[in-house]
This record gives sequence, C-alpha cells and structure tokens, in this order.
Amino acid sequence: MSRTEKAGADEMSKKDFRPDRWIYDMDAHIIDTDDDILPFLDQRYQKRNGSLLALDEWHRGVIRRPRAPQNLTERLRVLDEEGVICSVLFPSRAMDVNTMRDKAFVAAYCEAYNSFVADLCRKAPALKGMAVLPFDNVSAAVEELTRTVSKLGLVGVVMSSYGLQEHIGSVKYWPIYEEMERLNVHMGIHNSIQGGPIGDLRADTFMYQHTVGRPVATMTDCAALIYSGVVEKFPRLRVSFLEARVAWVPYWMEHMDRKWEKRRSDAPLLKRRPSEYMTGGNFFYSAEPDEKALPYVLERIGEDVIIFASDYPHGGSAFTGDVLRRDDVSERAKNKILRENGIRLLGYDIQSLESKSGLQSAS
Amino acid sequence: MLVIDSNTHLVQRADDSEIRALMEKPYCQDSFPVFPGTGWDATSSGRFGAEDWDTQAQLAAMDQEGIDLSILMPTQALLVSQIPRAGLPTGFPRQIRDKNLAAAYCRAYNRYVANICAESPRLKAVGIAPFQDIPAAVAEVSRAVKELGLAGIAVASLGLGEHLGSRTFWPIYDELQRLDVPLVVHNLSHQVAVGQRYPDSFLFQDTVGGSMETLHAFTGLMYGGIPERFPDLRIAFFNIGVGWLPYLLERMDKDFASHGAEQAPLLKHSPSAYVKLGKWFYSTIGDEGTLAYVIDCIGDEVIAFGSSYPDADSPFPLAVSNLRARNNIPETSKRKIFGENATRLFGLQ
Repeated sequence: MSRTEKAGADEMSKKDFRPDRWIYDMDAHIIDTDDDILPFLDQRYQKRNGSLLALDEWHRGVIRRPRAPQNLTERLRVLDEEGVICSVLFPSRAMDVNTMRDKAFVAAYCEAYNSFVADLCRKAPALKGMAVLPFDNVSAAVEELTRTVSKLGLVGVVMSSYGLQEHIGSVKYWPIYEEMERLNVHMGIHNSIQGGPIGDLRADTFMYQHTVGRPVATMTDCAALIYSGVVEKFPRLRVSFLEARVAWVPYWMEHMDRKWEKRRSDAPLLKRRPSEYMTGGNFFYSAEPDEKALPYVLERIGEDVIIFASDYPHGGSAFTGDVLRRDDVSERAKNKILRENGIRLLGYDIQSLESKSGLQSAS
Repeated sequence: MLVIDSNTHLVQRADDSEIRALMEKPYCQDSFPVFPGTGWDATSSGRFGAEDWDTQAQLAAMDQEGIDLSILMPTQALLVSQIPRAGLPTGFPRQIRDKNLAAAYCRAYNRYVANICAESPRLKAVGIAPFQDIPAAVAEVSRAVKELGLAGIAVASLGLGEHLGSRTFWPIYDELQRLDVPLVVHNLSHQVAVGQRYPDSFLFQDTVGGSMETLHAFTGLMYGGIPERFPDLRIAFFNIGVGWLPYLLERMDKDFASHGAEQAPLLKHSPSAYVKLGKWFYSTIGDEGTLAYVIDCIGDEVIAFGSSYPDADSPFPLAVSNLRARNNIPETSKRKIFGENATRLFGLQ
C-alpha cells in the first residue's frame, strides 16, 4: 500500500490528521513589495518617483488569509503543517510588470525581482522561485532566463499575458520557449487579475473583472499556444494554467477541435487535434480543491495533467486537506494531483526522487 | 416528438441590399454597404455558408433534418449595436456611427424577417433593436413584437459601451419583460472581442470571439442584478454550447461569496440559484461531449436544441439524428431539449 493510500485509509478520519511533507504546491505567492525589490534594483532606478510598478485600477477588497506569513519562519511552519515539500513561488505584483512600456525599466525590474526571489529561496530548500521576464524585449528575456535558471536556480517562468504586444503563441516569443525547453524549466500561465484586454473596458467591479478576466485570458492563451504550433515546435515544453480552475478544459478541448476541423489551414503546424495537445502531457491545469467539476474533468482528461495550487497566502487560498478529504476523487488521483504531476511539470525525475525519499509512486 | 430548431441563422447578403431596399429615405438610396465590415472572412473564401439561401432552401433543409419549426437568428445584422468609442486600438472594425441609421436598419431588418416568416408557419424569427439609442430601441422592441409578431430580440454584446447588465439598458429589458418575449444574447464569432490585437487567423478569432464575449454578457447581466430586477425576463445565451456553464457558475458563486454584498448588491442569492429558476436558457447543437454533465449540473429545463444551420459549425443534416441517437441523454430530456424548452423560451402556442 502506498503512503497516500495508507493515509487515506487510516488517518483521513482523524481530526488532527497531519501529513508529513510530500506535497508539491505548484502555485504559492510572495507578497512582493517595493521594499523587497529596491535592494536588488539597478542603481539608476533607486530614486524613481512613486511606486515601482504601475498600479491597477481595482480596489480588491480581498482579505488575506489570517495566517499570511509575516516572515520566513511563519511561512515554513505553514508548509510543514500543510505537508508541502515543494512550494513554487509566484509574485503577487511583479506579474503585472509587462503592462509597463518602459523597456529598460521592465528588464531591470525583472532582474531585480528574480534576484530577490532567488535570495529568498536560498534560505529554504522547499522554496522554488519562478522568474519574471521582459517578454516583449525578447533578447533580454532570453538572457535573463538563462541567468535565472543556470545561475539563480529558479524553476520556471511566470507568464501573464495581459499587456503583451502579441498573443503568447506568436513566433516573436519562440526564442524564449526554445530556451525554456533547453533549460528544462516550465512556464506557469498565471494571468494577472486585471487579465484580458476585453475586461479592462467593461468590468465595473472587481468581482466582475475577477470572474471573467482571468478565464478569458487563460483560454485565449491556451488557444494561442496550440493554434500557433508552439507545442509541435517545442515538444518538451511544459506549461501550467493556474488559478483558472479545470472545468473549462473539456469545454475548450471540444470547442477548439470543432473550430479546427473546419479551418485546418489556419493552423498549418498542427499534426494532431487541439484536444490532443491539451492532454498530451505538455499542459497542466490547476484545480480548486473544492471544484465540483473535478471528478468529471478527471474522467474526461485523465489523472496526469491536473496539479495542486494553493495560492497561499492570497485570499481564498486552498488547503491540502481540502483535496485529501474529498471522497469523490480516488486516492491514486489525489497522489498524482498533489505530488506526481507537479514533479513532472517541474521536469524532475520521479523515479529517482521517489527512491531517494522512500516514497512509492502510485502509478 | 416536436423538434424546434431554436438557433438557425438567416443568411444575409454581404452588401445588405435586401435590407436596404426596405429602409426609409434617404437610407434606401445609398449604394454602399451598411456595415463597414469586420475584416474577417467567415466563409473561408466561400467554403462555408449558403450563398443560395432563401425560404425554400431553409424549409427543404428543415425537412431533411426533421425539424418542425425554426427560429431565425440574425447574422451580420447583429453588428448594428456596435457603438464606436474613442480610444480603441486601430484595427477595431469601423462601426455604424449614425444612430438614426442604426435604428432605420433595425426597422428594415425586422420588417424583412417578418416578411420571411409570413411565407411559412414553420418559421419564426427574433428581431434586433438599436441598443445605442434606448428610446428608439424600446419603440422598436414594441413594434417588432406587437406589429410584426417577432419572438424576441437578439443582441451581440460586444461593441456596447457598457456591459449588458448596465442600467442604461434596463428600459429595453422592462419592455421585453412586459411583452413576455426573450432577450437572446447571440454574439458573432468574427467580432473582435478578446481579439482586438491577438487573433491572427480566422480560426483563432472564431474560437475566442463569440464564446468569450458571451461569458462577459452572462457575467454583466448577472452581476448587474437583472434576474432580481426583471424576474420574469427570459434570457437566452445562444450559439456557444453549454459546456462553459458549470465552470463559470462555480467561479461566480465563489466570487459572489467574497464580494457579492458590495459589488452585486441587487442579488439576493448566489448566481447558480438564479440559473436554477429556469428563466435563462442556453443552446446546444446536440452532440457536445459535455451535455450530459451539464444536465446533471443545471437540469434539462433550460437547454434548447439549435442546429446553427447553415454555419460551418452545424452538423447538418445530422444535427437532429445525432442528438436522438445519444444514449447518455434520457428520452425525457431529449423531448425537452428538442421542443418543450424552446416553446417556453419563445412563448410559442
């Protein structure tokens, strides 16, 4: 019996159930502030007037989780409590950096943020940082990607498409994907809450923007990557679609297949149906732990492409126990969602990891 | 079993000459097309669409499918409500700037489809209204329903200056509710939507255009408090299938729980509770993989069969038989989807 199954069978009912650390959380956040970034920022921007990043127009009104980490010790204590052995860290504010037009500043800000998050990650092996890149400045982005992975040890790239000059499948960005593939790191599509060019025109409350902005941006990004042939061109590239839930996936697979069947000549690089790229192992999708559609989606797309993303410590963030307690998802699927799929997304070798840690793979 | 095709597309001439002929002076005297064009070719160089569409062709296609009654939806006429706005990026399609022209076009279009419906009791149609001119829109809703016998009003939400739930549009909803006919949200795939800049092929545009825009329309109407303010108004979200609903509803319920009291103050219940009231409808082509699951989630009372004929998306001539042959949809549900739900939606009989 695997460790997870044992946990499921023997310990799930216990009120004070505490797993050891075995879970891969593919999307947690740093609350990055200007004070964090300034020490790493190029000298010429030290006296910049006002906030470093352009602020968006929303009053979010989100209440942070009460136990948001005031310091590293508190964060690590929460990881212990949650059973998380690997916490992939995204920024909170820096993902909006590409909405700014000052090319040199955007590049400098990305460098500073990446150095800051690398510095934080050196303090605890469970913390794994994701890099931000100046996507519209492609040569600088490639250079920074190489530095962040080979020198700083970051594990992937944050993609927030809002504000980019072209869709994310555009050939313009391919040198970045080529380098990601070469360095064996993944891209986390984590659209800013502003998300989606359509949304900035009409949403008149933050709730409206939050409901529809990110889904629209994320589904558009998915179509962009597939139709442009990025997955065909970079077959080892791995991409996660974060904080947009999973229930859209079956809808979008079928929707794209239908459109593509009629107009294959518009996507000349594709050798398979769009839905096959969506489930072929390049793309991963983060589920909300309490998402009602999860069993249905598992049935439609299998257990190998759904990952756990806590969003900690943002408002409404998920607890690993919320997944573990579900009685409509198999223990094997839980193990894959909470651990194995994340390991594959990171490009780590499951076999050697599991033998080192003494864990058995459920698959 | 009664079979109603609740979403059939009227094929319009690209130059709108048939509509223009019914417009008042001086509009009927113009020689240029009413719409400046979206810049996309939905026919893929003539591979799709029915050039030779007319009433007889429509009735013959219905016979071939086994359809008793069809509801004709506007196609390019839906572009009439796109309102020009300052500050849009270049590449945004040019739109009708003259609100009087828009109102005149709506009157002519509604007359045109009413004439078509007069040719056969098996054809019904929904009309259009100039959402950029509210008093004119209210007057046209009233005329289209009372004088022309149209079964509702269709709108494409993209291009309006505000989301569909905005109070600006409430007088139109008031009139629709009073006249007991539905609002049909029917977006066009070749509207720009998300694609103001991103789509670089019609395939991409067609995938994200109408579908993503309709999520906005749904969200705007819900958070704008329409189900609370207009409890008897029926609204249909057509032409993008049903698989998106469980996804969007769960996300909305969650957002509503966090922000609803402040940001959607008119709503007294969660969005999914309003959906269960059965006043909002959705169309399915019938062979969607997600259909059985969606029925599990929202029931079988609000989904109506719509073949999308003669668009490229339509499985014509197999739309009816595809749905009939499905073994994961109960026969009672099929009966509702094929006929009973559309009867309620459009107030037929």
